[in-house]
Amino acid sequence: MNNSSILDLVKTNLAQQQLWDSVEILKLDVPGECWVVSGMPPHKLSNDDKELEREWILPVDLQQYRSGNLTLEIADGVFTTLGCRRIVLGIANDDGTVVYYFMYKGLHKPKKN
Amino acid sequence: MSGAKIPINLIRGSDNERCGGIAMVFNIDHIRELRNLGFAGILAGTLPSAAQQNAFLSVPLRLMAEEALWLVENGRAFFIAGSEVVIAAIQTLSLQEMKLAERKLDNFFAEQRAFKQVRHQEKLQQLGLSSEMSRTSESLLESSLFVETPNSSDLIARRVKANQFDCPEIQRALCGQLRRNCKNPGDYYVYKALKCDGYYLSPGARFGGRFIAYPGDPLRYHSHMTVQPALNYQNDPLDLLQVVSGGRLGTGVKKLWVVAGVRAQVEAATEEAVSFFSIEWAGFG
Repeated sequence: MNNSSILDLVKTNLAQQQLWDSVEILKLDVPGECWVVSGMPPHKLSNDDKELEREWILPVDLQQYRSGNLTLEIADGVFTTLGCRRIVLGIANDDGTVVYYFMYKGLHKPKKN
Repeated sequence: MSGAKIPINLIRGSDNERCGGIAMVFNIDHIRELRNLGFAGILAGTLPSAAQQNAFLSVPLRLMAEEALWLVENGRAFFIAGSEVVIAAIQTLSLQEMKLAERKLDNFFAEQRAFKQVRHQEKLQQLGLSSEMSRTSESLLESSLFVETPNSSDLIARRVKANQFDCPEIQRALCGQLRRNCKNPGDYYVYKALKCDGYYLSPGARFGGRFIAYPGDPLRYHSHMTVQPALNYQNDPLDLLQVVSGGRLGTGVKKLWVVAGVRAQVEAATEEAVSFFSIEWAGFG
């Protein structure tokens, strides 16, 4: 899965619009050009989180006319490589907006509001 | 009652060709037993002349194909198929038996009539009115007779032995037929894995999924998850548009949007062959 083309978009969005700190880009040691962005959110992202922690964002491209290439196997590989309990999907639209979704491995309980 | 296998009727709809059958359970005791086993199903029975709202529907219970398959594969139930059997049984009914049944019904009405007439006379006496039966009161009496609709036919039940279906070859064939007609065969592995984790599952169309998963009996718990149709773990890309629409809807109704991947090479899939991922809106962006 090659997501190198939208890395800067997601990084800029996190740093400038969502006001995250120490946002950086890393290449993952998985097959294909798979990159992740990591950073510190300005506040806890979920009420269920114990403390503020570094988050991992996987930028993915939402295209109008082509299906994506994020399979569950690739997602599994990202989880294994990072060894984290959740990743954040940074879904980049082709109008330049980015939306963020939590992805947990396995079955998870809905967050408390 | 418990321990004995539950008969599940496979009813074929009008679109026979593409349909492996709809799994129905008609006996209230069996339905109770299923509930205790963790199968809620959907009650589907109503009267054509007085259709009910779905909160008041009655027997039969409709099961999902996955539920029915699970029950049969785990030896809790067996399939009965084909209205042919019932039709064949009807054709063997003799005129005598029909007459007998008719007479029984007439006796039942006669008893009611007698009982009602006595009550009517008593009431007239109390009011001090003439005890002659008028024509109107007679037609009123006729229309107040109670018609009992039995749950099952005595005549046919005596002829059709449900157990005749309970042999491995027939059951295997019926399971195969049901599975071949499932739109997405991977869903059954997903169902099995969730069932194994103790979830109660319902059809998920209400929330845009294949299943809704409840952590316990649906009457006691809210559901936690809408489970999407199974994906091929290696090959199917995650549809991001679905992630966005499903994730937003899920956040609104406090459910996680769950995707499951079934590994392709494992045909006789165990639970390990299914990987689950839970997705929800991150709350920003």
